[in-house]
Amino acid sequence: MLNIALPKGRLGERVYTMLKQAGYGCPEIEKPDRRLVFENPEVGVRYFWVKPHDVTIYVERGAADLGIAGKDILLEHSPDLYELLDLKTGICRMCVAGPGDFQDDRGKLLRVATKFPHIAGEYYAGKSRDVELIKLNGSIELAPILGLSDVIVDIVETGRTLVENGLTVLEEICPISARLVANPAAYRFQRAEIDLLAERLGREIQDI
Amino acid sequence: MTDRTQYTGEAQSEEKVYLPVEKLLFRLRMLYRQYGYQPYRMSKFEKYELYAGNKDFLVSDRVITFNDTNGDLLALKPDVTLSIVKGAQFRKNHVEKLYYQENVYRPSGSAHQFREIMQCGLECIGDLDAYSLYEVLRLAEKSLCEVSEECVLSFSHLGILKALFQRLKAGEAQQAQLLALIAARNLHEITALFELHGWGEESLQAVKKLLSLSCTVSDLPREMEALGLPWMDENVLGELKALASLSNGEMQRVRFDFSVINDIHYYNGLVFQGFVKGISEKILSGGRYDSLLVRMNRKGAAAGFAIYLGLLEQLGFYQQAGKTDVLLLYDRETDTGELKKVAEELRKQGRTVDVQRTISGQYTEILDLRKEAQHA
Repeated sequence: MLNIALPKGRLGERVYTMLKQAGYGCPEIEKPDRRLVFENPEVGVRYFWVKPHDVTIYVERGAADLGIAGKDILLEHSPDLYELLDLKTGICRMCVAGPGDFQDDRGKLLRVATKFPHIAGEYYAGKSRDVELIKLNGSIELAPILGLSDVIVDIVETGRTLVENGLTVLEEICPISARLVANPAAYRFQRAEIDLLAERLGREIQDI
Repeated sequence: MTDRTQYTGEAQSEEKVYLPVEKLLFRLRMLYRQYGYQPYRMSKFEKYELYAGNKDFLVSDRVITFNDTNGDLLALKPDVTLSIVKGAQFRKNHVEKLYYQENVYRPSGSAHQFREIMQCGLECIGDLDAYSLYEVLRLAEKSLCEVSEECVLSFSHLGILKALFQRLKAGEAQQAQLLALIAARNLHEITALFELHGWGEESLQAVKKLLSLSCTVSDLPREMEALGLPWMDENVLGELKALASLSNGEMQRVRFDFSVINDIHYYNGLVFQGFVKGISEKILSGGRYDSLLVRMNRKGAAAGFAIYLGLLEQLGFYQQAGKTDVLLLYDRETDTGELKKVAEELRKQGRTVDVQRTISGQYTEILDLRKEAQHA
C-alpha cells in the first residue's frame, strides 16, 4: 500500500485526476464529504489531503511514502526527499517584483519582503547583493505599497494581482511547478511500486 | 549476610528488564568484539577549534560552546569521528579498530533544536586494504540486521562520480548542482542540466542507467561492465571487484544505489547508508573518509559508520516490555507490616510488585489491602 499526501485545493485535485488516469483512482475520494483519508486497496493506494506547505513534512517523516509538493516549498525547505517527477502542472514563476519605476540603488541596503526567505536569501547571495529580508506570511504585495520593503520575492502565476497593485515583475528567479516526491526510506522498501507509479504518472504529464 | 537482592522468576528476567535498545547495544558490542574491535571512550566535550576547522564535516555547523575555567572555548561533542581521528596513530601494516557508544549534541528535527543524540558505531583507521573495507561494510550490514531483518544497506563509490566529473569537465559549482540532483534522484532536472552545459546524451544516459541500477555487491562489477562506461576509473572497478570477490554471494541486503553520496569533501571511496523498515530516514551512515585524515594532517586511510540510535524510538526500542505483575492497594488503615510482608513474599516468587494508594497504571493483577472502605 502506497500512502500519498495530496495538497488540498485545485492543484491536488488536478494531480489526483492525473493519478486516476494513470490507474490509481479511488472512488471514495470523489464523494463530497469532509474525510481526509481515502483508500483503494485494489490498486494499493491510500490518499490523504494535507495543507500544501505540510506535504513535505508528512513525506519526510514517513507518514506518507509519496507526496505532491510545489518546487517553491522544496527550494525553501530543502527536505531530504527524492524528487521523482516534474508534473508540469501548477506552473508559475518565483519572481522579484516591485513598482514599475523601481531602480535598484546598489549603494543602499535592499529591503525584500517575502514568504520565501531562504530562496530570496540564496538568490541575492548569488548576486552578492546585501539585502534585508522581511518574512511575511501573506499579502506580500502590500509591503512595497506601504513602504515596508523596496521589492518582494513571491510566486507569480498570471501576474494579475501584481498589476492590480501597481507592481511589475522585475526579475525571474526560477520556474515553479508541482513535483512528485518520495521518502528515501520508503523508496528502498517499495521501489518497484513507486517506480511503477512514477512511470505511469509520467505518461499523463502534458508537455508544455 | 548480603542486602543484594536475588532476582528470580521469568517476570524479573533480563529479557523483561532491559530495554530493547539496551539489548541491541549489548548485541552490537558482542558483534564488534567478535571482529577484534576495541571500545573507545571519550570525554563529553572537546576544544571548539577541532570543530571550527571542520564545520563542513559536521551534520550541523551549530555547536554548544562554553568556557573552561582557564578560558579555553570548549564544545559539547557534536560528532565522534573527529575526536577518534585526532587521536589516531598511523603504523604500517596495522589497522586501528575501535567502536563507541556516545551521546552527541546537535540541532535535530524540523524545529532544529539542540538535542542529545545517542549514537554508536565504529572506526577503522590506518593501513587499510580491500579486506578492511569489506569488513566495515559487512559489519554495517550485520549491525542493521541486529536492529531488524527488514533492512537495506545502500552503497555507492564516490570514485564513479569523480570519474564522471572528469569526463564532463564539470567545475565545482556544476559538480555541487549535479550531486544534489543525483542525491534527490531528480532525473528531469539532471536532463535539463546536461542540456544547459552541453554534456552530451551518452553521459546523460550513463547517469540515468547508474541511477536505475540496483544490485548486490557480488553482481556490481558485471552490471557496471554491462553499462559500458569507458571513462570509468580502473582503480574504482578494481576495488569493487575485490569487494565482490570477498562478498562471494553474501551481503544480500547490501544494494548498489548511485544516489548515496554523503559529503564528497570528506568521503572519497565507498559510501553507504542504512535503512530499516518502519524508520522514516537513514539510521546508519558511513564510508571511507581518507580526505578527512588529509585535512587533519594524518597519514593512512579510514572508514567507519555511525548508527543513530534515537531513531529507534520509531520502532519502540525505548519502551519497557510488559506491565508490572501485581499492584498492592493500601490506605491509612492498612497494616503496613502486613503490606510489606505480602509485597516481599510476592517478589520472592519472582513477581514484579508495585505498592500504591490509587490505581494509576496497568497491572496484571490488583490485590486490594485497603481497610477504610471495609470500615465505612
